[in-house]
Amino acid sequence: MRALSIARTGLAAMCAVSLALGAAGCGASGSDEEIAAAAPAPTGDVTMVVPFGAGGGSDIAGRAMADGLVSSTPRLNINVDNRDGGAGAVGYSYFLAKAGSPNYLLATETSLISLPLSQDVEFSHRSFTPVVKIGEDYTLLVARKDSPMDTCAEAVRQSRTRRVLAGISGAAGPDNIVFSLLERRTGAELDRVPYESGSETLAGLLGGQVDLASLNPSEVAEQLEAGDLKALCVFGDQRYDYPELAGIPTAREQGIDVSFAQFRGAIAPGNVHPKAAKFWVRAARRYIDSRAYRDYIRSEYLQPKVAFGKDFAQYLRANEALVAEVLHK
Amino acid sequence: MTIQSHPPRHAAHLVLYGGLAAAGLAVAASAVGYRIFVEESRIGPGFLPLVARLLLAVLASVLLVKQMRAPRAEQEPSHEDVDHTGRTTEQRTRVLRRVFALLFVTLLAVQYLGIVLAFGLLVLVISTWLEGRRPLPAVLMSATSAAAMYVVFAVFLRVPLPTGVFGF
Amino acid sequence: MIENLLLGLSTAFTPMNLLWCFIGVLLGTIIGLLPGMGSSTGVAILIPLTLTVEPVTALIMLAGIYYGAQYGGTITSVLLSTPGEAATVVTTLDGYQMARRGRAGAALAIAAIGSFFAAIVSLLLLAGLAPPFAELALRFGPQENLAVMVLALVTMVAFSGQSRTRAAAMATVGVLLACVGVDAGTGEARYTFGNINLLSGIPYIEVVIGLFAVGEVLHQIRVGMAKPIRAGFRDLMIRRQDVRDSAGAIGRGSLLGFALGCLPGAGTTLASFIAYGVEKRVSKNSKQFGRGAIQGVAAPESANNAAANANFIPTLTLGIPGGATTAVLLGALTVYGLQPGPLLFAEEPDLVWGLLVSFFIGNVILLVLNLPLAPVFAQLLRIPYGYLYPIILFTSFVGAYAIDNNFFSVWVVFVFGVIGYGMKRFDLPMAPLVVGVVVGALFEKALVQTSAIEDGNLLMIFTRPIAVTILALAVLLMIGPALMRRARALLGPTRPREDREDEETHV
Repeated sequence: MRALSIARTGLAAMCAVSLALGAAGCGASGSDEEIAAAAPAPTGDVTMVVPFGAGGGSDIAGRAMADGLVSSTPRLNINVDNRDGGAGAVGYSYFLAKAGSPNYLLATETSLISLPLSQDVEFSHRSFTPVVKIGEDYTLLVARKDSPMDTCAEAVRQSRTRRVLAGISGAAGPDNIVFSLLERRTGAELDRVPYESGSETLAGLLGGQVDLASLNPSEVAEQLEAGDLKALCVFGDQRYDYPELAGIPTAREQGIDVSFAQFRGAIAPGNVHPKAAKFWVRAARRYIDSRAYRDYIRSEYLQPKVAFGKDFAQYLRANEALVAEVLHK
Repeated sequence: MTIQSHPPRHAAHLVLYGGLAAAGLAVAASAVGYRIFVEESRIGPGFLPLVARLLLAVLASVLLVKQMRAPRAEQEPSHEDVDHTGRTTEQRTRVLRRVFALLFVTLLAVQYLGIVLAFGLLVLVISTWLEGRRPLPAVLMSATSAAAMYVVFAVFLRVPLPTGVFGF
Repeated sequence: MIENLLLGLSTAFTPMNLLWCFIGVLLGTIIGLLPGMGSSTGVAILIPLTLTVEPVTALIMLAGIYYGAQYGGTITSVLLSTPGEAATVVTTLDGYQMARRGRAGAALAIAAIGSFFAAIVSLLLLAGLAPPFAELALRFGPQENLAVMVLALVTMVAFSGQSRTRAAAMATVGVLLACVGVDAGTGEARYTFGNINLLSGIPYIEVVIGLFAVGEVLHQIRVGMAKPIRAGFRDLMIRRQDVRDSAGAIGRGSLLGFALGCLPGAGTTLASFIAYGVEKRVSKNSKQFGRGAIQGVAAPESANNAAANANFIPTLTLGIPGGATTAVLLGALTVYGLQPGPLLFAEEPDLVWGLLVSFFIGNVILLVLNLPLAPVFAQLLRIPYGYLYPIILFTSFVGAYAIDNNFFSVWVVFVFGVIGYGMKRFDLPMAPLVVGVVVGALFEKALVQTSAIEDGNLLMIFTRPIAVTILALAVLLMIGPALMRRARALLGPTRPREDREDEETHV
């Protein structure tokens, strides 16, 4: 125990010292950015912050956007920087310290909304400058092929009479929001088992540890095609157009009024020069028109619902209201 | 081979284990602040910290008791314990203290000098001042290691190393 | 199966592919030599390099990078007692002692040979048994994972050389350290004191670098500098006897590693620790463990390699990454337009088998490159310690920074360096602490999940046969030696061994 408390006080002391001296060490100081602050356009290399680890959906989106922006904008170079931890909190908090800098972007998603609502973090979506929403992602309610549940309505009904286990990735992530909405609107009762990632949830579902999971199409497309899993419904306002997903009915068709879209996009730090914000929106428009964008959307089974700048900000406000319905600190 | 270090004194062990046990119990209370169980008697965020702390308190107490029962073999170093570089224990302890201080200063200096320069200087200072290496080879050695680090990390791996006032 | 292997071999064995593999192994080894740069970082950094070549060639090169990086970590573990990642921590225990005895070359060579053998074994098992193993892996739920974590902690404590109480205390401290950060069950932040860097927990690679690299340096200064080792070239070469002595350890390590590697998320670190523990119990040479037993290097090195290969079973058959590196490789597969999942075996046979064979080729090249080079690497120990230790500090801190490009990591290394020194002074074992940190988070996750699945009743774990078997094994390991002693004491008069064991100090 003493070793631990030494470590703690030690760490705290270190942090205090390094903060006092303005080192980029432990906290949000960001004095190194002041030179670049309020510049109207990026100078030199740009960093795309990804608040999740390499290989996940956010990482793929971040890299796709970085590549797309680079190839559609001359003289631009973007490096991807994975800053994962705390279910995204580490990356966003790091980004908060880059206020004013035109040299940073962040590959954002729903945790921008859900983290401030469920945890004690210093940022909200108002702390940043929305640039572009590149698409939306709906989740599918999936079960094993031999499950007694064939539709979402059936799942809701069974959950009232017996114990139904639902796997969620991340205790406060988007899956939890979807299931909370489902419970609130239908009176269903789902026992949640928290997993760490989508792939772990998938393993839990395949292994029979849980009965249901809400997963993105890109995460389960293979298993659906192979027939290991079946999709009960999609929590979207309309069916997917992709032929392999078009047969999945929406929850609304089954009489359940639940639709929840996760978004993906990019944000710039707060307080950037208005010209820098315009620069990024223009660059994003060029990317959205490119073939690379269409290829990315297709490979990840996203809905190409795009919004730029102010429209994206408005979308975020609406999304926040919906999420606040089920999440509270 | 290395020379056997003198284990810390009996009393130091007692303080360590006693401290571990006491702190374990005292701080176990903090785990209660993070709920031990959440609704429907599920394991909560405070469960593992509480269990681990109590276990640690028990283990540390066992160690404390064992240490107290152990024969107090207090063999102070009577002879001069000299290593192959001709240093006594006392001299080595002094070097250790200096390395520790230098390392701390180096870490604080990183923001002014950049990480490569700061640690390059650390290599130079340790090898000449503390280890008595001749200046010229020491300068060469520290310059080479700094250059190698820079090439590998900054150029080859493209790690944005902390830079200082000199821009590298 | 043989057809499949031939198909793979015919796609993989071209001079061009071998050349790229060679380059991959070389670059990987260099990266692996840097503290903090493990195989997953190595692969991630070098993926762009492979995008310029054909998919099969790229995969072979990646395999080369992967094995190279892993081996690079082994080299620094053995020579400098600075493991680059958690999977090679246990290698330092005996590897470093061997190096101090002038047997660095042999330690490095046996690690390469062990890895090579493990690669062959795991390739054959992978080819023949991937589907049934995948099936078995799926039956491993949180309850079974919980049992495995208990086993891991117990193994580490039961087999630690000195006092078990001290080892247990340190493992507990490790588990406590793992509690820092966001809680798996509720997403609540614990013990972070408002510091965002602590939200993701105490980073264990930094802990490893701090305890082992920096702590060891500080300790060496205190006890008197290690003399430069002037072993003759012949001493550095591996002897036939060494290989014969290690054969059993390599075989057991490979099989154990493979079995543990099949489980999604269980990982290579666990495999290396458990293999070391088991070997220590089984080996005829168990007294030498911790003092430079070659089996203590051979077993964990074979195990972590076999586990790394077995990680591909969930990856290829279920589309679930088995570990950090496979997750990155999985990302690489999608870059080439391949969707890993249950259909990959059927739809892209030449690629899958090409991949499997490329692991094999990667290991062959590793062996060819490093067997003769091992004594050369060992020459590093001839550098006077007065130069070597500041340079170790240099690479440790810069390497720590490069893990996340975050100066916070550097302070963590510093703090744990001081703690590591203190632990050495008080003769507290460090390996259990590292296991505690690595296993602690997984342990808590399994605990929370089990509690959720069983509706709060943890005792339900005893209704799961696999979990019960694993727990029984753990209990056996815990009380087995004591029972043996009791039995021996009844048979003949012996000195009270337990007390003596506790007073034993290690150098």
